[in-house]
Amino acid sequence: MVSAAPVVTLKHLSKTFRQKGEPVQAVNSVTLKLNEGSFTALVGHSGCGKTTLLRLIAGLESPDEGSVDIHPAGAFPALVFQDPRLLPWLTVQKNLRAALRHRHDLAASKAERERLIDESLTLVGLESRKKAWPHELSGGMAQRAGLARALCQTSGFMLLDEPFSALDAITRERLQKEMKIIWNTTKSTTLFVTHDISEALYLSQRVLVMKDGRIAGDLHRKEWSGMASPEDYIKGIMDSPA
Amino acid sequence: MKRLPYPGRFAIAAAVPVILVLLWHAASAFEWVHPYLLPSPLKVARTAADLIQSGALPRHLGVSFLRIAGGFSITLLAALPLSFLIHALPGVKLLLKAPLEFLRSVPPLAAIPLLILWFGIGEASKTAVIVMASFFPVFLSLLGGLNNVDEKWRELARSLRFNHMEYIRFVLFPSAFPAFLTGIQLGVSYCWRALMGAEMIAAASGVGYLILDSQEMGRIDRVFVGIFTLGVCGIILDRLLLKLFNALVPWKDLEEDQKW
Repeated sequence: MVSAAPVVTLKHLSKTFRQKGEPVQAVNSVTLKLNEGSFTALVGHSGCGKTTLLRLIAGLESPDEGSVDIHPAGAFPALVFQDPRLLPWLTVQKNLRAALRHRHDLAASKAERERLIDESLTLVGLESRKKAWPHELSGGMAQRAGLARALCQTSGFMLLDEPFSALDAITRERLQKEMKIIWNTTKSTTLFVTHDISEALYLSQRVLVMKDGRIAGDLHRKEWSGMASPEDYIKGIMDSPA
Repeated sequence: MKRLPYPGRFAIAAAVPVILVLLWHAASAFEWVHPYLLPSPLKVARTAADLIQSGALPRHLGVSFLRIAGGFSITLLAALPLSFLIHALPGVKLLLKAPLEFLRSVPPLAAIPLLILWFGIGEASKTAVIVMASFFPVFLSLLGGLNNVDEKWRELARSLRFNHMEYIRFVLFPSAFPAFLTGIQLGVSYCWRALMGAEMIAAASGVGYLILDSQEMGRIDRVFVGIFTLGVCGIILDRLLLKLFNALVPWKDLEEDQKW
């Protein structure tokens, strides 16, 4: 049962970029809440603003208008990028250690931190590769290591920006299954950006459809589970005229 | 392109040097060039063996290495803090950019008369030439490494909420490290090239001195030995540094970057 307490509250969030001198509104007055322990997918065509929205929540961009409130105050989300983004000069284990430096909720004991690192690596099936350098890992393994870093970095809130989009179909499918198992184990509040509707429907409890910088659709699993083809329904929202 | 097997590659790589030595031998044997100006390869080899046996060549080489070590240490001591300062403080960059650009454009050899006047004809002026020759490759490589940290690492540091010290420790330094090592490698090779100029200044030892002294004494065979010593030692030093530095940065193949 998902708790109703919101971990993230966005209020009238807007962001405009300038492209070749012209303003482009990437995010247009988005208001939404992500509840604790929920897995939400954010889908939309390329350029619809989903990555910008994620970056605004992650604090990598500042909004022009509106606000991002994360509960508890001072907490910050763990971010999984499209690429694994492991620091190439650190082994997998040291990458995770570096990410743990701001887990102030953990006791300062080294043993506890190491335990968390081992647990996270075990969750993603990389416990035997913790001493490996990032360049020694396959694409799928590196992305798993990035996921492990996010798992030990956060006390319960993760943002994932199309983390499996650069992987081959077989690895992607395997990681989707593993992601589901991981979320069932951790119940982290998760916002998962993807352009793959079936991936969104497979992984999440809630799908937000983004179009032209706005949330154009908001579906919960119980709503789409009764539909004959939720993919077509979501695609219809994405392709509907502005 | 398909890579040739080792013996084939070796044969191709050795072809030009072998042809050049044969041509050199022919030019000397048939006196296409006066033997005074072009002693035979055999004579040069015999002279090299004599210089090694008498201990003269190792002694000159040792002195030259010590000069390079001294000059290059000063280069490191100056270039390291200055590149960090300029990277961190835009005001310092603004202040020093014009004089540094000017100095970069001055060939170290052009400064020798002034260096002799200021530092005399002792070791200080020789060291100054080496410092002038090696400072900019090290300084500019390190500054380039510091200034060109990939945006994705900066973004990662922000997402991991690194503070300034953590950013320097986990991102800035390691990211700039390969460029710094390349700078050292380049700097050492520039030192080696500047040695000749440095040892033109009233030296009594060193490979540069050996070459100049031999020229004055009309011993062109010894001039050849000196030149070959500089070339061969330069290649060996460069390869050794590359191997050593490659072992220091297991995440990056420095050799791959320098292949041509």
